[in-house]
Amino acid sequence: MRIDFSPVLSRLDYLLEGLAVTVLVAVAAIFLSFALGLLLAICRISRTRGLRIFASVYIDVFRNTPFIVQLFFLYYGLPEIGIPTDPMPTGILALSLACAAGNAEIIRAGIETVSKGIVDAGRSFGMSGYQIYRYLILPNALRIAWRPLGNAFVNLVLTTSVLSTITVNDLAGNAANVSAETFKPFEVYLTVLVTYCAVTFTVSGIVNSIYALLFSRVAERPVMRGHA
Amino acid sequence: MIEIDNVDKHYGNLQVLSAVSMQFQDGEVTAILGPSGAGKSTLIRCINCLELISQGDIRVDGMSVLDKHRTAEIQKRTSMVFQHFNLYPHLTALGNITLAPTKVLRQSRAQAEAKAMELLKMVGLENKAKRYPAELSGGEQQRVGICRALAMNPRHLLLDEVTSAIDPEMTAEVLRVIEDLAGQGTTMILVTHEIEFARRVADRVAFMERGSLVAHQDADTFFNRQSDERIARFIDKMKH
Ligand SMILES: Nc1ncnc2c1ncn2[C@@H]1O[C@H](COP(=O)(O)OP(=O)(O)O)[C@@H](O)[C@H]1O
Ligand SMILES: [Mg+2]
Repeated sequence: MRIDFSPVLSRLDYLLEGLAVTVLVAVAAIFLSFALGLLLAICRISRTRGLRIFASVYIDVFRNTPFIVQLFFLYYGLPEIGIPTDPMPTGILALSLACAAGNAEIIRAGIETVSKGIVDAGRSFGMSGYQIYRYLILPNALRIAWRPLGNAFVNLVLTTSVLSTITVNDLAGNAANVSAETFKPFEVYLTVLVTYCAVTFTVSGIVNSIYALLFSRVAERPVMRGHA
Repeated sequence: MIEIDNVDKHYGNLQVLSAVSMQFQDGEVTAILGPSGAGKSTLIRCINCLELISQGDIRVDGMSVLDKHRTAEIQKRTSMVFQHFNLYPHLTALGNITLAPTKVLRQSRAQAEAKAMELLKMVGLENKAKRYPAELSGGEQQRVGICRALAMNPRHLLLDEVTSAIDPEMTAEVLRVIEDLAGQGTTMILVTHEIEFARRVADRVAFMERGSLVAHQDADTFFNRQSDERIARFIDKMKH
């Protein structure tokens, strides 16, 4: 058997279209799952019992069921009760809902490690509960949660490939089509693996840059002398 | 004026304050001394509404800490400086000092920053305004902590062992700031183990032991004409 990438190159446009869909879906789901995860984390440790219970049940349900089943449930199940579904929006929704559960746990852990001392300080100066959350707890919790969240975002990118099972034309989906047309699975999937790698490296890079930009001088570390 | 009236404080079964009554007059510096675990921190945290009292009453300028609607006002009038600084790690020195004035007192950013720079200058840190707490030494962090408390224009400053978490060679710079404030007539309640310092700055001294107020005397009587033998021994021990 001869290794031959020319069929891959001839279908490059189609594969790039898939890549664009993957990136779009990933970016949308990263933002949505982050916002939803933040809300869930706050509910999870809220003083209101109802919110606490809602958040724990949500998190437990989503973390203890397979993503592909959640996806099929939404995509094939909802139309049955009269809610029409479309592959891409449903895919983004399913991915966001599922990843929000994991993000919520990461952010909650971050919130719980924020020192009681700074909360005391905020309270002692008469800051309201909302102000303490907004200006003291969340910025520090997100700094602590940022790297684990970055790992979660990378996982999310990889999980977008599952959406091809509900006919989303993402990179994995289009790759399967090209592979079937060209009978060159080795070349096709090798190309696609490298591409996924490039995407996740980019995501990690962005996550790390944001950390460096926002938090590099904040973390506890040896005192640096002579830089103003 | 701060009036403490027959205050008890329990944590579960543990009684931390028992029947404490005392008054702090405006313009006075009161040092609170006593062995570790005596309830000194708890007492000033109760004044600042960081802890709820179990019995009795505390009134700050006539407002009771039991009145929930007054909590915010009492906290505006009493500012804490913490043993472990409790600076906000994600904000610069300037950000630490201006946060509560802008959010609680609703000062403009410019006004708050001007005041903050003035305070930083007073404690000799005007060139460290843009540093983060992790980039400051303990003594510098605590001086920022003092500025943060003063930026609220409190009527009463509460200081909890503000030098005990600092390297010995840096305590002097912090004590000097407090001494200046005392000289300017700021009302202060300061919990401290620095007996010589208390002798220099305090108008009155309170001595606590196992949750009770054992003595509350003017500083001269306390240090120079102490009649209670146990307190005299404590003073003697702290000197060395
Ligand atoms: N949040 C708390 N829960 C339970 N016990 C506490 C708490 N805070 C303080 N205590 C206890 O109350 C006692 C007095 O503490 P504290 O006021 O910090 O004493 P001091 O400042 O005089 O050293 C100690 O025995 C301490 O362990
Ligand atoms: Mg203490």
